[in-house]
Amino acid sequence: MTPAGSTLKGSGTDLGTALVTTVEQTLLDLAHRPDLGGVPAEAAVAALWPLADQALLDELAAGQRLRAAIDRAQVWAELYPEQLRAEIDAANDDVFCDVNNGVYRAGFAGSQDAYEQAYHRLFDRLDRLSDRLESQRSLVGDTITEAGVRLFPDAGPLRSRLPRPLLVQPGQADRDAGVVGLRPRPARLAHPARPRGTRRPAVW
Amino acid sequence: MGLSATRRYGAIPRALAVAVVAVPKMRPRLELVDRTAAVLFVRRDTGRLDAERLGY
Repeated sequence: MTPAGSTLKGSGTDLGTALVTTVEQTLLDLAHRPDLGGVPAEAAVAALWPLADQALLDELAAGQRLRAAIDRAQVWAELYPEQLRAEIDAANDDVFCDVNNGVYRAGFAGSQDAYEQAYHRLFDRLDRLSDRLESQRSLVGDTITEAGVRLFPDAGPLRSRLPRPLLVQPGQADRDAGVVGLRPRPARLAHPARPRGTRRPAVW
Repeated sequence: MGLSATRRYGAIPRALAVAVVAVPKMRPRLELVDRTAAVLFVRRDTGRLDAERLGY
């Protein structure tokens, strides 16, 4: 039942044949339980969405009472529009390497040098992201995309959930030093005030 | 189903250390002994799932 023109390829192994849920059923399952398996399903849903037969999707959703899953999948598919995918992927790489991982790289640095490097890398990236957001509404394109969604968890709401050593905020490390073993923020790392009254995200 | 089918369709770019299998009766998660990986079993009405036989 895979739609004609499908360009997806499976991984070839010598395990023989197996019953595999169709693209439409898989898409519904992912959207229904996106956290199953511990891997974010948004990008996978967005990749499967254009390959799914909409009529079959509707029929399956109606029969399995998963209409809400379709609505959710549609939102995710729009977060990863085809024409912006290259730009979104590039932004995701930057956010993942320098922000999402940067917090941990700084928080668990084993030496002062490593901490300073991680600190510079994290805040340099934040500066560049802030600069980009000063001239456009979203990280990529005109509306919210997956790139913004991936930055969001590190940009405010989770601050209170971050372990204290990971709050790599200017000044925060100074206050934490000696409490959790964090090295003080190097004096030369003082950042200039943000232009036009904007504030640096107080998350890290 | 789920992530495993997604991987089969190539929508997840890399192999993950987790497999998801639909089963008619609940059974516990299976941890592999030769590597850090797990098989998750999800109780579903397997007769109603839209599935097809595909070669791996």
